[in-house]
Amino acid sequence: MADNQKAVGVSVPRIEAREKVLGRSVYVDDLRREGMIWGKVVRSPHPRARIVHVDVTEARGLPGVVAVLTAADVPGDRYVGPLVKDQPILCSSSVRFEGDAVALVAATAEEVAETARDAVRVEYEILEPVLDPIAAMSPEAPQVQAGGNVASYSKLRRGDVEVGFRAADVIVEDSFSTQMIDHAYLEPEGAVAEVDAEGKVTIWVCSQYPHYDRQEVARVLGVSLARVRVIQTTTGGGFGGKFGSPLVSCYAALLAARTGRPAKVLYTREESLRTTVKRHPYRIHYKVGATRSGKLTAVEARFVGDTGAYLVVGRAVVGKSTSHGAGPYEVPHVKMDGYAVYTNKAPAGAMRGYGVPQVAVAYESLLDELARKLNLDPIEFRLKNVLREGSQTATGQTLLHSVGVAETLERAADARREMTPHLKTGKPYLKRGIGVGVSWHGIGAARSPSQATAYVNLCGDGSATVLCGSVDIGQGSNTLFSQIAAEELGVPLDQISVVTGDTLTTPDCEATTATRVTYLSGNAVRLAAEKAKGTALELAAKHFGCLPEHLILARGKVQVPDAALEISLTDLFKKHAVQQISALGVFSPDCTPLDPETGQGSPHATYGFGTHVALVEVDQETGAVRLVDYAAFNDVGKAINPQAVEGQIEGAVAMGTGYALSEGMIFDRGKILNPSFATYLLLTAADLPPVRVGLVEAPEPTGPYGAKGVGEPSMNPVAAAVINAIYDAVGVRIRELPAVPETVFAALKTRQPLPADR
Amino acid sequence: MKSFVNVNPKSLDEAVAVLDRARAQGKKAALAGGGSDLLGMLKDHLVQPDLVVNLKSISGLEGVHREGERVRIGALTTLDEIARHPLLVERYAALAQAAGLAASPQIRNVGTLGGNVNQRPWCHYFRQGFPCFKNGGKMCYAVAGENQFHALFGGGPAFIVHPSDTAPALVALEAEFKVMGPSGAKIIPAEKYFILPREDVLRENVLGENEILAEVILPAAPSGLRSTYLKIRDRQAWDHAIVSIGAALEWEGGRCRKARLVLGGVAPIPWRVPNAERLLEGKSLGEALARQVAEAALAGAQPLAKNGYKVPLAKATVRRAVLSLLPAA
Ligand SMILES: Cc1cc2nc3c(=O)[nH]c(=O)nc-3n(C[C@H](O)[C@H](O)[C@H](O)COP(=O)(O)OP(=O)(O)OC[C@H]3O[C@@H](n4cnc5c(N)ncnc54)[C@H](O)[C@@H]3O)c2cc1C
Repeated sequence: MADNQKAVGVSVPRIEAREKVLGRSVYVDDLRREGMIWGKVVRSPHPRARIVHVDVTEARGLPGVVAVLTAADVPGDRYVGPLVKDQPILCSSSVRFEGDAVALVAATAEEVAETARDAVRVEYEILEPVLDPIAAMSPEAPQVQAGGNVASYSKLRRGDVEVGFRAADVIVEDSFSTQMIDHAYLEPEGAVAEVDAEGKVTIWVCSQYPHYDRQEVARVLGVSLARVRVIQTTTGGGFGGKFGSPLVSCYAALLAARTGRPAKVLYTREESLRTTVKRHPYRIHYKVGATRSGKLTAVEARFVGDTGAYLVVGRAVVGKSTSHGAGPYEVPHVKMDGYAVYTNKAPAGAMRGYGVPQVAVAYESLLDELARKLNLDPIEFRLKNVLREGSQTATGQTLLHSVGVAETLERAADARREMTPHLKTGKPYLKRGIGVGVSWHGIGAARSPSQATAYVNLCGDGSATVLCGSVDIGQGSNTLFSQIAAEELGVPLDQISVVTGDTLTTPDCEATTATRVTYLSGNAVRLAAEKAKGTALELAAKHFGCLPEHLILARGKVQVPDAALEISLTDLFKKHAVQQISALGVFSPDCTPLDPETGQGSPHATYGFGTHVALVEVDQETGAVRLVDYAAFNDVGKAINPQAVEGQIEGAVAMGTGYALSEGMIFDRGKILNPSFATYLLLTAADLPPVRVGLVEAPEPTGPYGAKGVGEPSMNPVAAAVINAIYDAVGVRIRELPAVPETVFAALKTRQPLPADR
Repeated sequence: MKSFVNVNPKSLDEAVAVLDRARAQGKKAALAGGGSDLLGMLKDHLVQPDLVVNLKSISGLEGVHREGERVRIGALTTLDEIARHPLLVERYAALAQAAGLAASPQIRNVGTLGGNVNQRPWCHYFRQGFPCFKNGGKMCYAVAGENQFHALFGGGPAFIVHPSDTAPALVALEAEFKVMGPSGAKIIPAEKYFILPREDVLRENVLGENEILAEVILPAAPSGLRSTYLKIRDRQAWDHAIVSIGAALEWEGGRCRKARLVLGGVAPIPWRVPNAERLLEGKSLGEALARQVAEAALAGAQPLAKNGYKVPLAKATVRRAVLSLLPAA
């Protein structure tokens, strides 16, 4: 960039914005290959059944049908899964949820494939499904998986909660339940696979983690990793749903390998809603104690996450609830017990928030209850307890830097003050209220080691290429990488070209999940660029006979500012017979894994924080809730691209409000009744007010330019803020999400009289 | 989706002839207005017609036309046009408001009045292809299942609710439907157009397989007519009514001369509540009477296990609707 112009900290348009706006971005659906066939998946209509017989004769005989595959046709491993290989890509003996895959067909046209799919005759012996996660935990319950229905158990023990509750003057306790929701990205899952003359397989897929898709495809095909190449296509959203279930890649690959023809499998919206991973529904019980002066003494919680038919990442999701379940507060005594439990439902997996939004609703609700009982203002009460620099978290981690949560609360207090004049409605049945929700989110997956890698190739004209395995799924990481490289190398953004999402050319950086890309991969890119620059400066130092630290690289030239001397990189490279400078950046966050017995450790190098304020209007006669105003304050460390950060937060508020008020899969005896955007109620622009975003920047010394991340921290407090606002408006505690009119109405019927009518 | 033949008739008579011929040949035909509902039904295999008769190829089926004091609305008029039409907004507010509250802006741009009143139910079980009564099967899954959106009145054997927003408004405004069939046109009062499942569980109205809704006729708006449509829903676009009401009151000297109150979202047809209407007639309106009217409107409701919340919700809607129609002072 120009000498005094910065690339970091400046709002810049997405590098792919123009392509997207012009409709030129290539999504899976846009791909056509010569001789391509279409695959369709035969799925179980029953939540739990034994497969008695699969008859493919009629389907195979249809003109245009080129393949009909069942489990026996899978050449390699038949099971996939990021933590445990428990999900069959095609079921052979039993099906475990409505939508479980039984066979795969392919034909020369999509319509023919659909006909063939419907012509596969599967005889089932229908079994009683296991639907309630609590009942599923009983040893007498039918077993969804051979190892038992309790898939994982995670604990946290800090201090002694008995002591903590004895020290408390006020104790509140309550149960909550949250629903199953879908990511509802605009683009459903899809993949195209092709086998070349050497037998190597290439897959184009919308994905959050192409390297993981490669692993699973290689295992399923029974070939080595090097013979599989996965290329990420422009990805229309992920939110966790396009990580951890690489089935669609496997289906396309199986068909291509079997037939030798390029194969495409594209899920319909119905298939996506019915069969791909979801957010874990939770059953939660919490108990929180505090002293009269407003200090938290103990938190005890037990929660059960319904992980559906397969584990996917259930263990890790519930583990995150456990480590985050005491909130961003100093609590001396904490006890958490979290379970992931199998049931005969669509598998739950990763979804933005990863177990934190569920528990945030519970603990933030109870903090409001405590504040009320203690006659303390909810924000003041929280400020007495929030983590600050030097505080210890519930996992025993001491936070030395970048703890901006108190500042988000202080700014929230200002926003609340601004909202207060708008509490009046002029209609007796319409009541308004303001609620606050606070939350946090550890950056990156809670384990060790975790690593991000990037290469920077610096060219003679000063421009550079960045190669990184972390993919952009619409959140803007490619733009961020270009900003970081441009900042380090002193060139305008258009001099940086970013390559991601191709397993052949980019290093495995792990998934675009866990709010980890800015912090981990951003650091890797920064380190690589810094190293490339360092090498160039060393060459120049030799040339000028000075020290590299006295030199500046800008716009393709190395300058000696003191002596007004400069040399172009082109000349410098020529002089030293260098064609380009390639540098590798590797970053590993400093964490220690959690002790399995006590849940103690430092699972994340740093945390993002946020306080959100919601103003809602409740119609007391109908139970309808409307979000009227919203302010979101997030501590992001440093906003590298402020406009992109704001976009993340606005999106999170829309998603979180839908979670709070309207979204949810509706089940009838294990069958999803609303696998359609007409009936799965996402909120629309008409339902959401403009979101006021306030960025707090408590710099993280180990982050790139102080940055942490914002994807999930912005999601976690939303539902809590909305639910607390409903209480403030009408004095009822919503314990069951979503707060649809019937739920709110039912709660209103049991309400105690309001203290004072506004 | 099964492939079908698309037919572009040039006139209503030709369209009727196509339907009649298809019927004689044992073929299934479906009418398409804007196609916004039909297309979804086709994709979900809920209808599998051999031919689709595209009504948009017929000219003269759209638009809002004054004819003396009456107003004729072609079946192909879009919901958006109805929602914005100055004459309708002024004199037949219930209809304009109902059209403007239906679905989403995109759907209102293509969705037609004919398609809106003839759309099929949005019951989850029906739309998911369960073998329920409406799909030709032998049970109503909602009875023992997820029935939070189902009928309070007139249910059995199917407990669907009529999904159309414009239908209750049209019944409240005493509209008439002009239907074209093989023996020419006939006029059916809106109220008689819709039928309960116990009359014919496979359809929601009297229209025969070879008939087409051509036009909706609104009678002269009497002096003192005020009407409105209120709708409660889970989100502010793209969502059917949990409950709604089309209300039309005629005022004279501060008293209500005549009232028509028609609930939506509570029954398999637009549900008129004559007992509540009678309470209003001859009276001047206040909060107390509005409450009585609301109670009377919901008297006799028979909630299922999960839709009881609709009763108080509907009462509030009725009360607000009538109070909003107080005559201009
Ligand atoms: C997501 C979603 C949400 C919706 N929400 C609402 C809502 O809130 N309120 C509401 O009222 N509606 C709602 N709808 C329905 C929407 O308004 C209808 O889709 C639209 O009005 C239908 O108009 P169309 O002309 O496109 O109908 P089409 O799809 O063309 O037809 C619908 C049905 O009517 C029949 N038909 C069409 N024209 C005629 C005719 N002239 N004579 C006889 N039969 C005919 C067709 O055969 C078909 O069965 C929603 C639809 C969707 C998809």
